[in-house]
Amino acid sequence: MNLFRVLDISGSALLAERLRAEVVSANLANAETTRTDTGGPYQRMHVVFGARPAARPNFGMTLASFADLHAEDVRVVNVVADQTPPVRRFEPGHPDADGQGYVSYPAINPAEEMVNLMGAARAYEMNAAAITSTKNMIQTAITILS
Amino acid sequence: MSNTIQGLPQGGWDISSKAGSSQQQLGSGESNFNDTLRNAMDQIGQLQGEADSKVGQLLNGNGQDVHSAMIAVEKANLAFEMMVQVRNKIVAAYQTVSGIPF
Amino acid sequence: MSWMNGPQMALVERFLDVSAMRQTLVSTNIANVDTPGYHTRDLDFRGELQRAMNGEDTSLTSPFVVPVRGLIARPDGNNVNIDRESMLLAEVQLQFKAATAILRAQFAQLSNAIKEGQ
Repeated sequence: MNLFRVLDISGSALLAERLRAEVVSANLANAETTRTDTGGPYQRMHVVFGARPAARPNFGMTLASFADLHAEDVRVVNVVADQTPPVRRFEPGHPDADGQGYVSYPAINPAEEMVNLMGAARAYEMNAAAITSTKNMIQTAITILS
Repeated sequence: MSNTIQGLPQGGWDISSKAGSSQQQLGSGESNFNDTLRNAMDQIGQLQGEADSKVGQLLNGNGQDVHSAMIAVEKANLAFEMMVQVRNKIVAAYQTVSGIPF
Repeated sequence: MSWMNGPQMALVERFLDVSAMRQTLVSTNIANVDTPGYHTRDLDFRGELQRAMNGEDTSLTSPFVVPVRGLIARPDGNNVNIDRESMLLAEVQLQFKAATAILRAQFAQLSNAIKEGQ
């Protein structure tokens, strides 16, 4: 119930969405990268979000608060590499062409990545709005005494 | 002709016994005031304790609502203010009564 | 002090509590808008208010958190409707503000009544 805990929840979402935006931006920037340090084309990455309870009731608390039971943090649980095989294009003159003249490009669809990026940006805005709203409520509660 | 005036008791009135009985009445009245004040102070102590505990929990980050703590503090303040006013009234009444000349 | 804990004040206090709880749920929904498989949560606001107005002793029972009907799930199982949550965010905030104003008026009234006897 404590509204300060709610700020933590929204804050965790800000962090997660920002991380997602960074991963998507890296995908976009490397959409045409055919050679990486580890050899081979750039591997598309994507994030996996997971929710988990904000706090676990421990023995010290006799009554778990409402926030502890129902408010869930969001975390980036995993950053995984896409398993889609790379796209092969026929470019015999390319320095990274293989024996048959094909070059392997990352299986990245810029339109799809842009949609993901916009989604992350919008979610980030929404959580910032939630933080502002919660902050206003806390300030309103403080005026009870003034 | 009788030496006593009809209707008046022999030997005059027993003023002291009458004063004594009213003294007792005043005594029980005082204890009512005391009990009321004591009850009020106990309740105020309880409200104050509740307010202190909630504010403490709030400041320690133990999951206390801001609005609950604020309400508890305001209630304790109001109760205290009420008691102060009641006490003032009692004191004023006592002073008024004790100022009556015999 | 029973003169202070009248039914109106208890109702406003409960309203504030339930509003704060709802803010928790709405914020959690917004935070999990991209979490696969997450379902929107809410509480029965009107029902809670009705119970409070009926004078039931609600101090020990938390409101029930219920799943929301009528929402469409996306392919990853998430059914958070960001427009619904945005609207609720504004609504809860305003309700909380209104209830606080009412509470302050009640306290001011009590304070005046106490000081009136001077």
